[in-house]
Amino acid sequence: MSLHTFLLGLIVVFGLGAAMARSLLACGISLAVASVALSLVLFEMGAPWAGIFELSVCAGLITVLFISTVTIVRPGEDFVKEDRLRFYAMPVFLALFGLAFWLFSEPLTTALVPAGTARSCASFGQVMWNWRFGDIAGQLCMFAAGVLAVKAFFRGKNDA
Amino acid sequence: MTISYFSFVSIPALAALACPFVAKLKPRYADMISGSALLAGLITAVSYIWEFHQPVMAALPPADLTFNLEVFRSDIFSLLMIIAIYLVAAAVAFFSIFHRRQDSRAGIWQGLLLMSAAAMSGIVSARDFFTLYVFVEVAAVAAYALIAFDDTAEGIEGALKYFFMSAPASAFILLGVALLMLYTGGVSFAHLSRAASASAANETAVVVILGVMACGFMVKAGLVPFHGWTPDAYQSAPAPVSALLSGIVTKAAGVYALVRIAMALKSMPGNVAAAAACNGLMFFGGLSIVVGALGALRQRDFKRMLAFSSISQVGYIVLAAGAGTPLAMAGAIFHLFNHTTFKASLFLNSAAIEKQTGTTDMKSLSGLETRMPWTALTSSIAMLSTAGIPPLSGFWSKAIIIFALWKAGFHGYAVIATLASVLTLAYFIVMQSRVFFGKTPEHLLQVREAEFGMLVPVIVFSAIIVALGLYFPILFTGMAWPAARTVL
Amino acid sequence: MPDNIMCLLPVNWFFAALLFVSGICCMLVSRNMLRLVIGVELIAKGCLLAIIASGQALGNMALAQSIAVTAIVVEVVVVAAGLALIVRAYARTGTVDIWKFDKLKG
Repeated sequence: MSLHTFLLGLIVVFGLGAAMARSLLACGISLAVASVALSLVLFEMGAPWAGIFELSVCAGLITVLFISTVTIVRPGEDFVKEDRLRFYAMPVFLALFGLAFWLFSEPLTTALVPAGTARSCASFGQVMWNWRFGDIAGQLCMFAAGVLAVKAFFRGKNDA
Repeated sequence: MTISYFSFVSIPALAALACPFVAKLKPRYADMISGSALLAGLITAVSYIWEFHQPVMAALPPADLTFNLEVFRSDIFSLLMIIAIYLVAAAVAFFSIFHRRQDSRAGIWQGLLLMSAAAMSGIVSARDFFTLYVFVEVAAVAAYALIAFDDTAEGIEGALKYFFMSAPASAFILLGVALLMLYTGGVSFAHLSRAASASAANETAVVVILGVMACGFMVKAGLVPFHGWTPDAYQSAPAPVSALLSGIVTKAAGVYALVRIAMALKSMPGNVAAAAACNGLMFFGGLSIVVGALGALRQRDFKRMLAFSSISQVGYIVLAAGAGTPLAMAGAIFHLFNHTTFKASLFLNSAAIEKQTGTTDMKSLSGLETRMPWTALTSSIAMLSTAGIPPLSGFWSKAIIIFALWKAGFHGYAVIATLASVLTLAYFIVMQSRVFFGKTPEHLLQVREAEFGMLVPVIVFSAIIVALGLYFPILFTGMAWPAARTVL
Repeated sequence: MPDNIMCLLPVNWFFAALLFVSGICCMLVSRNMLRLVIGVELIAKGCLLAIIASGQALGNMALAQSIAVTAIVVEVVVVAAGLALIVRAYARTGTVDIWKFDKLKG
């Protein structure tokens, strides 16, 4: 089993752990480990930029946000009664799904033959700045909208 | 001359950033900035129609990696959408100046409104699916904040439902984009149409890709069976926000993309899988028409009834888009624009009624016609247009859709569409007479007409509805028909 | 090298689909809203893996990375807005149980 498959399996295991963990703090940490594993996979696949972003943003920023939110809503957590049985059914269902996918996805993978003509020698920076400028504009709009949204949610003391 | 549509995105975005700072000096300044920016954008967009030069939307990105702003281009369908976006956004901005007089958070409100308009302009000007996705997300974030703006428990609940249904939908769209990139080597509209019409095209693959994306967009558009968030969000949001959401956000974020996907599917004639996908679109459209019409009958709350009516009308648009003949497409696009005008008008009126009488419960309202004559008149015009009464604009768009369906051989769907239209007419007349006509009960005798400022936007919408209805032939050949001829 | 990548393609897609479905399952069985957000995160990770896998099979890693980076940025802002909304809901109603939010009916 290659390193690649092992890392991918690690992501799924920790992702499932994040979904099934009893305490939300364990969920957050498990998700962070899954993010680190994903970024290692991205590095290994030859996508260093995506790997760095995944590491710093998902494994770092989102984990911090999540854990601070968990800290804020800690008292409310006690009142949520979760049905554990459904949680334990998840790995079983996932295993069945995985089996079905492995056996029956032949037509899909043969139909989706990649177009081999898009091999380009452009670097990441060139593509990002020149071709995908619309996305950069979108990201800037996203930041602006996010800031405005958070400002709207947390009103100051002297606001109506 | 190619027009760069970047300014339609960047100017509201910059104004949105300026609003909170300017509001610290005086909240009115934020309103002024917002109103003027949106009005200016509207006038510019309308003026573009006259000197419109159809750029080729289906052109590949330039081979040399020079920096350019050509990522935003449009054809006439996008221009029509931009006009609709700016119209509704300007109306809501103007309306909220009078509706929310004592608001000290006007800076953030107007900022979110402008951001929403910028994002939607980005959606309709994008020439590839991924940029479209990014701007759909921006519009969604602005919508979460706007729905929950008044910090009521209902508003927060509506926003939560929207968030938890919309987030997986976005993931579906992203998955579709990944599959598209794998299959065609790029994510632009041009790549898709080239791959779809290539002789060695694998039809199942293209249809699977488009199907996955369509599932995501159906949630955003509020189509049955993914309409769970729609009534709750529309009912609980502050009324001007409901006007914005129903009037344009669900259209730009969801229906626009579905129409583009339908156009792409139709460019593969004779393909069995594509026909099946179109049938699927038509099925969900027809289902939405029926569920929306029946659901609206059972509602007591004015805004919730309007929400179900919106689901029904969006069903008409998707049904016609799925049918795919040029006439049906023209009808779909025209109905899209019309629905914007009448739904926004109805929601703004409901906001005025709510402010003047304090309730939106239809059982306790009656006889408002004598107290609020202008509101009654504009509501009547909007409702009659929704129900499809000549010579208003709604009649023409519905007639085209039904006629196109019949001509294309979809007799069953045409019958369903006609019957639902009759049903809509019936309950709108019942509702209208219950709320506006009849005797004015005691507790409503002191109700005054809405302020002039709140009436101006709805009067403008009513004038548009009437004008479009009367001048329909000119507009049809000039705008809707060329838009339908656009191939991806 | 290309053959190697071709063999890996179904493996990548297998795990991406697995992540995606696990995220959806997580969202379906959870009552606590924060766990729902974890589900959203898992779905997003699955999509990210799918994007990079497509890029690798295609050979155009620059395009795939641009899309992936933008998708990561978009995802973090959406999750931040969602978490802020949850904190607001908790401050208003004192609970993070999604089943308790059912006042809007009809």
